[in-house]
Amino acid sequence: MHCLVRQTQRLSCWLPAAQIHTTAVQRTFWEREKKSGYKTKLPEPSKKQLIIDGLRDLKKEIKLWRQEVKEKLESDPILVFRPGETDIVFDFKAPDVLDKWTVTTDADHGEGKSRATLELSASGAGLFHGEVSSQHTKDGIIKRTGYANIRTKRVRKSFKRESTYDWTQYNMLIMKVRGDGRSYLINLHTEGYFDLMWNDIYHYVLYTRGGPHWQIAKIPFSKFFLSSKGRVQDRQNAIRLDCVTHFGFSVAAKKGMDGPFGLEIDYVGLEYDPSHQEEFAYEMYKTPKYIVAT
Amino acid sequence: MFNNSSKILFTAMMIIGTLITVTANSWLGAWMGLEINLLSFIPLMSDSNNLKSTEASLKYFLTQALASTVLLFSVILLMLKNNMNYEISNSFISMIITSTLLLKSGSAPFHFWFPNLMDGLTWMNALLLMTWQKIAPLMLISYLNTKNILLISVILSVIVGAIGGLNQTSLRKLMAYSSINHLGWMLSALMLNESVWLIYFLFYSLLSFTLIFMFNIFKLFHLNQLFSWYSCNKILKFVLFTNFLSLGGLPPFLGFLPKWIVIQQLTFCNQYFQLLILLVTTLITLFFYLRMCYSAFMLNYYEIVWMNNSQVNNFTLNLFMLLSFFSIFGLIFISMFFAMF
Repeated sequence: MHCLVRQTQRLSCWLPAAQIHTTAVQRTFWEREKKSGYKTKLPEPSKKQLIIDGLRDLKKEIKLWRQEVKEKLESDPILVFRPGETDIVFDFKAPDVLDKWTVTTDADHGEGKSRATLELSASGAGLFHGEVSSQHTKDGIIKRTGYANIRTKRVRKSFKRESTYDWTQYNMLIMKVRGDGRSYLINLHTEGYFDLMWNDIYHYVLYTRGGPHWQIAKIPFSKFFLSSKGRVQDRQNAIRLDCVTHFGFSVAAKKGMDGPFGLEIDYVGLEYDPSHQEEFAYEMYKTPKYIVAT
Repeated sequence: MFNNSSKILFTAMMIIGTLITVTANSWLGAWMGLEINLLSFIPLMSDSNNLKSTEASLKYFLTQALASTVLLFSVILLMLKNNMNYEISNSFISMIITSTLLLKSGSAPFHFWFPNLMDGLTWMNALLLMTWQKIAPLMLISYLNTKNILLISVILSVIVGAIGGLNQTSLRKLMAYSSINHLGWMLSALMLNESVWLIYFLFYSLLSFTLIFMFNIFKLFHLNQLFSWYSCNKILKFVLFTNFLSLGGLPPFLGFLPKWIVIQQLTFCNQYFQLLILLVTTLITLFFYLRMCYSAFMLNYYEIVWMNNSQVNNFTLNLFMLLSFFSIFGLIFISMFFAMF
């Protein structure tokens, strides 16, 4: 089997006293939990409250389940994906749509002083704005900080079963955004089944114009590159479009870019472009074993 | 395949593993063959530089290793209970052994790993998983005297295979559910007679190979790719969809023959309830094949004209046409053959 090791933090080398490590050395790739040490300890409600909540949600879940069974028996999936047709996945039209997104910054775990919020703007779009700052307490553990993210919550089927988005039939990501000239990072989380793949995120950069006009960014899925916990991996693969679990944006105060930011998102959609035949944009230096070097 | 020495080694060991199982004199030898088969199939599966195939091979390893472990323990229990003879008169142990072998072959109610796994494999590996990997477990099941659990598995397999395949757009998952359905038919054939299930298996392998060969050449993985696939020869598209109908068991195609044999044998044994369920669920599978073929024949689709046709040459097209010829007209020839002699 191919080596499955993800690059984690820097492994210590054996030269004594030649290097002083300021971050913890991790020699394993085993993950205890999905959040990898960044789990916020929320207070758990009492058992009675859990039962009441469960019974209240039961009716809703049964309705959802009945819808799923009906869809399965009808068995009428979309068979034709026409070029130029965008199927919208995320928009900000529904009243409770802000519940589906989670906003996180480096201040959540005491690592920095950035602020961010997600709210509905005047034009009916989602406005992700705030301030990133790379200022942090110099405690010797954190070297750099200054980030803010938004991410959708995990998509679930009926009875709160975790599910994934199935985007296999599409090959382009379309976004109608209005930014402030900053570059944002688009994150496609593909949490796999095993703990090694829990932190697999595919990134690409969204370059925004900054003017008052909306821009439609059309990014093929073949351009997304794999990273795990922020480190771009050596062994790159094309994204698995049937395992997409979360979608998100990130902004960082990198190279002194501290200050306010604002990203307005009208919709995020998918398209199938038949003229885009590229499977994966990045070539590996290492070839398969049976290809002899010329 | 022949430019890769490790693939040749693993394929050879996979074949050897199955042969060891089938020709084994004792259960221990059979288990050994199953393990060799498993061990050599995993590197074949995880070969492509794709995360999905790595995950698939890991899941395959976990489920099959579990089955092998329980099989080994139950075989030792069998020996201990029967005072070192391998007489299988004990129905409890034979039930455990049957369950493990059903898990290995991927039939309901132990089928949950199968469609998800198939989605991560290349077409050739999927073909191996659907056809070759079924021989050893099924052969071992035929050595046991279980009736009840096998009957439960038959009924569940055909129902799961039919209903599971209903809303699928991924071709590999569709073939996986079709495989589960056919496995139900094969298990009911197994209860009757060894030759009947072997005939069913051979015909099923031939039809699967025909379809999968074509999918592999044109790199078709999804339903919408199947419709918008451009072939310079329209007959080729028509023949591919007719092969689908043949796999679904529609007369007058070849796929109907093995089902016909099983239906006839079941009526001779008065197994009408089982036969009813098998037939009704086959109609459901035929429904989703027919829906696909109906859409392809009747409706107009955009076809993507530019394609990298490096693998299409005279040999592959001729081979496909030959296999499709047998798949479409095979039943008539076999009937004529039987009528003459």
